[in-house]
Amino acid sequence: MARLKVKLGNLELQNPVMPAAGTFGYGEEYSPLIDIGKLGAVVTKGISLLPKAGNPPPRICETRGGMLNSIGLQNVGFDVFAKEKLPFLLSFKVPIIVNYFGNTMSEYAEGARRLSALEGIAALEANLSCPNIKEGGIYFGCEPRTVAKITNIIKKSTSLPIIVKLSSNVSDIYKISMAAEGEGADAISLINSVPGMVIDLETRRPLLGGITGGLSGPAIKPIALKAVWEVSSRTKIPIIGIGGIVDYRDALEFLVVGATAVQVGTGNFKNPRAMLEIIEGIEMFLEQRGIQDIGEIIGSLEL
Amino acid sequence: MIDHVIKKAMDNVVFLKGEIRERKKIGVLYHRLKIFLPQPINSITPGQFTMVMLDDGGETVLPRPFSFHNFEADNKVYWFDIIFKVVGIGTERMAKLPVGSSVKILAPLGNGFPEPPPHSKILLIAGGMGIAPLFALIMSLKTSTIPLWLLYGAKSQSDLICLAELFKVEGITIKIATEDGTKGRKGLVTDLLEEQSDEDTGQIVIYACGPEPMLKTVTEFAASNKIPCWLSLEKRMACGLGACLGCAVKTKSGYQRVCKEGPIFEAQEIVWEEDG
Repeated sequence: MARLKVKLGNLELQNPVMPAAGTFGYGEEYSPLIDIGKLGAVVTKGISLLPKAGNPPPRICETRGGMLNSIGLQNVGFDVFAKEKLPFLLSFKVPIIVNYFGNTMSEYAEGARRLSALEGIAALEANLSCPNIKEGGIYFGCEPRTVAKITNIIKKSTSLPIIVKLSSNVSDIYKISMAAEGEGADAISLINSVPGMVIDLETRRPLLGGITGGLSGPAIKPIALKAVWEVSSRTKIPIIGIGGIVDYRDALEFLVVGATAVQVGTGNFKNPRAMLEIIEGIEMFLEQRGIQDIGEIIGSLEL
Repeated sequence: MIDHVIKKAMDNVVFLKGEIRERKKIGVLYHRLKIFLPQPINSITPGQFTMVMLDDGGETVLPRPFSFHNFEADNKVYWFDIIFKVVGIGTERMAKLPVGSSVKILAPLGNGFPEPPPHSKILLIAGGMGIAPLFALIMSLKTSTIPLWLLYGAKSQSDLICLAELFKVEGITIKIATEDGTKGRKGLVTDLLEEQSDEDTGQIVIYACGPEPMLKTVTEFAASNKIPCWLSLEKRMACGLGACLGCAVKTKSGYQRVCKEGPIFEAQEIVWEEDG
């Protein structure tokens, strides 16, 4: 059996496959359908200190090769998460990565502090790049200086590994990733959904309540692959590749361009077993080619 | 208050490869698929729904939600019907699925209609495709003694489906409205509510499904006549499991998931958007 174990800094995963935040709820929604214990990790729906209502409906719309969402980070908030959601997740023997976000710099610090005080969380994924939230007109993840500052204050607030989740919708993703790495980020998740829009020609109205949304699914895979390649070839910290992965070949492509692990998002919707099939597919691929360790695939791109 | 028991979706959801055993075109625009399962689902309640995943090489990215229109009346459900109108690439492809081909299904999802309280009468109000889950409810009540009224409206006569089967239900009173007047009263299904009010001689419960403006009018009618009213809502969905929060509907207690807290909601709980 090929070795599928990977490491995100000090965090060891039994395989490199996990859900993307927001597509897998808090685990319980999918638990009747798949064995969560077989995943590399679970990434939760994004949490904020206080509950968030989210954006007005309609919130989703299929597009060619993808879907747009304008959920608006609806979530139950820290307290309900800690009391009602986390205990269930901790019953599985896989690392629990809590995705979270803040509305201000100090909320990112406060969130990290409070989540670290909870028992059992393996790592935090700080969302610096939701396309549906603009506090005061600023995307936090757009500028190297801001990303450096947030990463710095988060790292000072927790001893948990910090994964910084970034958007590709920036002028230079490499510089922004370097800023996160420079301030001690343990890993980088690339990419968040890509800002987009859908309208109805008849009514001439946007099809989403939030007017614009985030594009995900196979349509964004090439964008994501490029971002992962660009960053991973020049940073030392591990990259988690995200964007349009629906089968094991997609996942392996991300590993080849340098991702250490992958997240599956939109792919879960049409196939709730997608992540398990990807894990099985990767294993089969490695065995068929006599590859002993998945590490041989990671960053093996030939130029 | 009537003590309704909302049948909560149990964790008996399955993800299976079903087989299309029958495909029937109904009128010009509608289709019915009969899907057989390799292993049974543990009971379905009318009002619940299924997600259909097309094996189309990725042409569709999301599954499509459909109410159960009809299903094996047993605790072990080996087959069910869905009906749909061709509205986009997903339904277009489904309308061409050959008999014998397979589709993946996720089912049963959501909560069914709550059972009517004892000694009540049932008023069903269907607009267009809204007949889909109400048909299942009517079939489940076929042999009961509960009086049934159905108000059924559509754009035109050709949009009224399953009428023959509905008329076969013993003791059901059916009133029809079409917008173009080709069958029944000319106008909206909700216009039929005027004729309905003075027949109120006992406890009535309303179950309704249809376009939002219709449901809004039904809700107002129910409120002013103090009639308990349950609506089956429809929204675009991605996961069907309550994970993605894509199918949110505004209610008096905040946004709720149509797939999980719904698709059946108590009418007075819904906060209607300004322009439906």
